[in-house]
Amino acid sequence: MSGHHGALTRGASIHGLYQPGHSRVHLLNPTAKMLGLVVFVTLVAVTPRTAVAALSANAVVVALVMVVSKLPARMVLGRLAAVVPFVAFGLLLPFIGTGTRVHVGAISLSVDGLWASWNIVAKAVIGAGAAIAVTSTTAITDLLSGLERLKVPAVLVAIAAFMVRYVDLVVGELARMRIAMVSRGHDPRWLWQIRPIAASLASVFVRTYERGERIHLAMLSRGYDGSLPVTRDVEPLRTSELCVGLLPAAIAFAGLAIVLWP
Amino acid sequence: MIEPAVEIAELAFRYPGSKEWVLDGLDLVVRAGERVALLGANGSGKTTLLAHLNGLLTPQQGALRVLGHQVGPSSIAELRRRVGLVFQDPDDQLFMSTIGDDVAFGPANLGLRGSELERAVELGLASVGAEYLRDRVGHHLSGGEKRRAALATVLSMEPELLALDEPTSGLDPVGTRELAKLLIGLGTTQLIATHDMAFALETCPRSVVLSGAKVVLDGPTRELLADEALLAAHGLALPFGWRIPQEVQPTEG
Repeated sequence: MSGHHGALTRGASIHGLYQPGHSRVHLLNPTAKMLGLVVFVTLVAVTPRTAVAALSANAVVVALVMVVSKLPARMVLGRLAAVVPFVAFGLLLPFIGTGTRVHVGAISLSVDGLWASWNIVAKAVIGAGAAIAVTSTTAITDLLSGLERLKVPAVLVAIAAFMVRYVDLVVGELARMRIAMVSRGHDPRWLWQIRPIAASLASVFVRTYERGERIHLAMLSRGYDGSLPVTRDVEPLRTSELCVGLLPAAIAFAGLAIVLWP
Repeated sequence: MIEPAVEIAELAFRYPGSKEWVLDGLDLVVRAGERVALLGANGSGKTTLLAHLNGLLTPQQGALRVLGHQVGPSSIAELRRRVGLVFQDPDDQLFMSTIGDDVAFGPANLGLRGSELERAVELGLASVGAEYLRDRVGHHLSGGEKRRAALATVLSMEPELLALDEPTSGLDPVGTRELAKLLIGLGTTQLIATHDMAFALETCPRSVVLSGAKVVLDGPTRELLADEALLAAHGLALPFGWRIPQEVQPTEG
């Protein structure tokens, strides 16, 4: 039948987060991966900033998971760019921090600011790295079913699923509007040229709202009565898979325990 | 005597806040097993009529019986089970994270679980030859694949009446032919709202034309499409270079 629509607007997609593969990490149960991610990131977040060895060990664990996953370094570094704002903010802190100061050449730096900077940068990079490792090795649909298995309320999973399902359509719609503007000579470069973009955003909002109404009708017409049905059987999570998924978290926990041991 | 699949008498409907009747005194009878094309200009009420068939809209005036049930609050659950409504835009119909989940959505709402649900999903996908789409996400399917998947989402509920709204929109000629073949092979009662005259001629032995909020023409599709002047009088036109020999005049009114 007919080909893809929107050839002009095809580009990055939320489904492109997943990097297909057959590594041990790819094949691991998604629920175990998600549970492992949540526990690992929580432990990293509560690790004291002075526990440099523990945080470094956590960073090594994330790097090892990426190596085992065979994720391309360029792709990982590209996605880590998402933490750049945090890193930039962190790098400011030594200059604007108060308290004891140290001098590096002619530059005066706050000791507290340096620790705060390290804390933000290290935890942002480790946390983002762990999230990248999981999202790059788990298909979006498996992530959603993982949420279901973790007993996340069905309504929240449905909202996440709808967002995943329709974000590409909305982005595609915006891209088509931009192309329509450009094709009629619009060349947005300056702030005062923002009006058409604002108008297109408003238009997308209205269209999205109307689409939401149509989707609701489509749901009603297939018997939806306000509660989402269970459309697939939930496989039980095996203990062995859970243990593997929680392995990085166990290492983070060990590091934390050593640091906090009196 | 077999009861008609759809019996409509003096049906009238207008949307809240609107003074204009979208349907006004509409009469129509569709026999079980028939495939009927609903033709009409934009805004002639085709989609509104289809939405009445499984209770998405309920009549404000007149009578509407579908599969032996008077359409109203008490019959809605039964009609949603037995009448499959396929929307114009498949992206409105494919809202779950995979096609398999979408096809399972209707049967699961009917209470099917486990092997019964699995059988329904397999049936729906197999009916349209789309078993391979089961684990795919809706967004990256071609127009034709989306259309087939949307059809599978209602076929998995084994409906006795199919209502299709502009099923050929967005399809290329090959996709349109494949869809026509598929619908002809299903054997269920079908009401197909379409602007595609060739598709109507291929799939539906009978057509009705909606204009002025009511049915104005009703007859064999071939005969109806043969009268260009009559079609033009009701805001319809044949594709360029297309002409059907005029044999019999359709019945007016």
